Amino acid sequence: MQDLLLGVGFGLVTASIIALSTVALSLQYSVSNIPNFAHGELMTVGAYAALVAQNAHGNVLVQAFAAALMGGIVAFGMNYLVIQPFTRRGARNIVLFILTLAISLVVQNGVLLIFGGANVGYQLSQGAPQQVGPFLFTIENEVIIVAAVVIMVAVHVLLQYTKFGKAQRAISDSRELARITGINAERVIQLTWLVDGMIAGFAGFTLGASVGSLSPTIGSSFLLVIFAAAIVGGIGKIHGAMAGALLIGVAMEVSALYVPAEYKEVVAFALLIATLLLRPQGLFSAERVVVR
Amino acid sequence: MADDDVLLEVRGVSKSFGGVHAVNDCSFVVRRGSLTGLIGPNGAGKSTTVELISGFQPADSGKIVFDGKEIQRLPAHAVSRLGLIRTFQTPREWKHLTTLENVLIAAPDHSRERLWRSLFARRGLAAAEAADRARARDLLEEFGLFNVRNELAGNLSGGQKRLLEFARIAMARPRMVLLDEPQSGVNPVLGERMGDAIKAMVADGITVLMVEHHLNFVERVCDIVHVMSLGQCIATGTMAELRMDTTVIDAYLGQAEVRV
Amino acid sequence: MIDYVVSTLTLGAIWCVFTYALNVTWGWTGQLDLAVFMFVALGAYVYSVVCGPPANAALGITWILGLRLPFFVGLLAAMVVTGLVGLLVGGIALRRLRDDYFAITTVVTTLTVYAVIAQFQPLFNGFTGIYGVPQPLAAFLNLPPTLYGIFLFGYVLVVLAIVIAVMYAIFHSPYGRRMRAVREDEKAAAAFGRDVYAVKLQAYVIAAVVAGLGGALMGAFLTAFNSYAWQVGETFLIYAAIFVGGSGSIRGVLLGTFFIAVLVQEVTRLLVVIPGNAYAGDALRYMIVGLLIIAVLWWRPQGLIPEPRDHDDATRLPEPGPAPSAVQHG
Repeated sequence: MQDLLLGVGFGLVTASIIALSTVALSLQYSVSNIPNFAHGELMTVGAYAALVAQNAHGNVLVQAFAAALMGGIVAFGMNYLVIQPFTRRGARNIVLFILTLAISLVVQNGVLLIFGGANVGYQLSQGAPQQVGPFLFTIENEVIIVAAVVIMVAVHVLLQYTKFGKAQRAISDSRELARITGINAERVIQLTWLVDGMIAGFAGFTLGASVGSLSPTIGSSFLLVIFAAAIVGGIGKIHGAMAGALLIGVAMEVSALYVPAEYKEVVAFALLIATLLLRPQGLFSAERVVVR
Repeated sequence: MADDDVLLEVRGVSKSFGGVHAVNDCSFVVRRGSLTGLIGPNGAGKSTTVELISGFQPADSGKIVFDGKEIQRLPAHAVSRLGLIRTFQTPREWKHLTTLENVLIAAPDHSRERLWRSLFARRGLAAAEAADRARARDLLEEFGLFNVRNELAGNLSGGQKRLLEFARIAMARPRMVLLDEPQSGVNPVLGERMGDAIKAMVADGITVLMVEHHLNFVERVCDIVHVMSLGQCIATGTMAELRMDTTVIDAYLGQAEVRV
Repeated sequence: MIDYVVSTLTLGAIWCVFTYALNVTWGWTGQLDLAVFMFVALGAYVYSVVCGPPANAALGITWILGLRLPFFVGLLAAMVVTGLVGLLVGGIALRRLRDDYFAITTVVTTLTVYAVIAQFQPLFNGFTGIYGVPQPLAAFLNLPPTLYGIFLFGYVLVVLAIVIAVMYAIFHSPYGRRMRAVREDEKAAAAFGRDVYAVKLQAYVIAAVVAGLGGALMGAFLTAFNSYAWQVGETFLIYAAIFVGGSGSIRGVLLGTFFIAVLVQEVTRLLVVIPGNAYAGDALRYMIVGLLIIAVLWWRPQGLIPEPRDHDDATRLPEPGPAPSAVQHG
């Protein structure tokens, strides 16, 4: 029981990181309607940007900011330079998806080229784990969970109460209608990607800090787990993303108690495939967007 | 009307999408050899009914009987194999295949499409293929598409694509055709041409159920017309009769624009 | 020198087989199958355990079977196994999923299989993999290495020629045309009586079988196979080859594979080695491939050699009938 609770505790930390990234992915998906295979790379560049900031003696806040900034720039660039031009040309969904694959190839290998392939240590100072209720958390774990919650609340506020948020929701419901009501869809989409990148970059920073070392594949190795969370929760729905992340995060960590650790991700994949086959719209979405 | 006069029967069919009842206990019949119209205001459920009959969407409840056989549970390709073929509101040509190939593929005999035959029995294929090609050429000529037979279908003009749809249907030798708004977005000259093609189909013994908004056209060509509103069939008769029918008038007056 | 050229050409020819497999799914049926290299790997592993020696358990090495059977049995076994796996994966994944989600499912499947093979030692000896696989007819012919290399190249060429002949037969047949109709518009294909799911599944299985065959050739050529031989990047190389060469075109596959193979080789050779970064060559190579894919999709999505189109030569001229109607340009 103790172990189970510990597992759930670790699950919460993992879930927080996954949740951040999944929310970012869902935001982007809700306006672009393509799964972004380069999403993991946004986390990677965020983590490495934080590393660079740390090497330049920036404090934790600067590192986090650098991560978010870098993630935002890369995401904005992806959309502005590649996705939108192709969309204007009428490219099919599957072609756009292929483009995200190609972009992930370029970015990931760009990081490899610049920073090398070896694992690079990345540490934030860690306190000793403290007892918080039935769970054991370090200060850092707590910061991650709190930051995740704060960001998700901020996203919620952004979507519900600002003009940008309303425009974003309009576009995700129906791009045609949104355009008719005068919303500049392209601009809103660009900003959405920017926000997506910033959150994902920050998530990369927390991931790097939590794992303790960085490698060029740190983001992409997480990618499919994030997809799993997004799809299980209901892709395109922010609240679904959060719920999916929680479910996947906890499931992965708890399963690690019973199966060899290397198969942790396989648990997430199994949930992903089961969802796609049995309830493709996810647990919390009413839309049927993934079925032909 | 005698039962064996009825080729298609829709009986108590319903379909809803996320709480919206697109089709709600709809019933009507289509007589063998007729040119039957299906009209109604926007949102009446006509397009959904076409999807249900042709097997592209499963009905929630009710029965659809085609020539004595229940088809409501059959997938689209199975319904088509029974001889009930539909068209689409916007032409769906196979873009990167030639116009001729588009018609060729519509040929009803699919027995040549086996992997084994393509690898090991090629000689036998050639004669049958040649016969189909000849028939396809004749049809293309009939629809004025012979000169573009080697063009990629995606490069055809809008009007040519619509004529291609007819050529494909003709090639498939169906027993019944479901036309989904054939006149939508079509200029009057092409419209005439298509009207002639539709009448020629019926003369050839093909039963036609046509969903349409252009009521003048419906009046000109249809033997009998069903009116749908709010997911149900509310009236049946000739256009002249229906123009006097108060339920029909009410249903249409609920709409902002009536193209009569 | 000759050895280098011959082995490069052999490897290139084997890669052509992979690309032909992808041509059936992506090129002719429009399915974005990202598991193609998984089938290659399975083919290589199966070939290795069927034709290779049993594992030396005393050294802590474990793999299944080790039957030492002749090479053609290995080829056949590889194709049967990959065909069955393809049937399973495709059967499930193609049922209802939209194209991009189908692709994601294939990626997830590949990673899962990769994890299982790498972690479950008894199967294929984990990461270290299988080695000591005899080359086809090597013992029987007993040739000196250079000559054997040429023989092996010839052997691979024969298999490639058979694959090309099969591809050609499929393309120029009603079966092939049906696949392309499904690719172009599934709804219309269904409206004209084609079972779209069955068509896609058959194409998927054919591709799996061909990929497995390629993998078996690879296993024979390398005499070994392990987890390092199949990474994610490999799949992108095959895709780059088919995009550049021409999706759907049989000659395009050859051209594209040759182009990518040469590109990959030459880029590595001409690179200045960046000190401290052992991966610079790989990284740059894959960046170029990624950018190349984007560039090709923008400027020439049909590839260098577009898919050939049907040409109907009617020997008889159309009768002079009524004047061409205005509707021809309506």
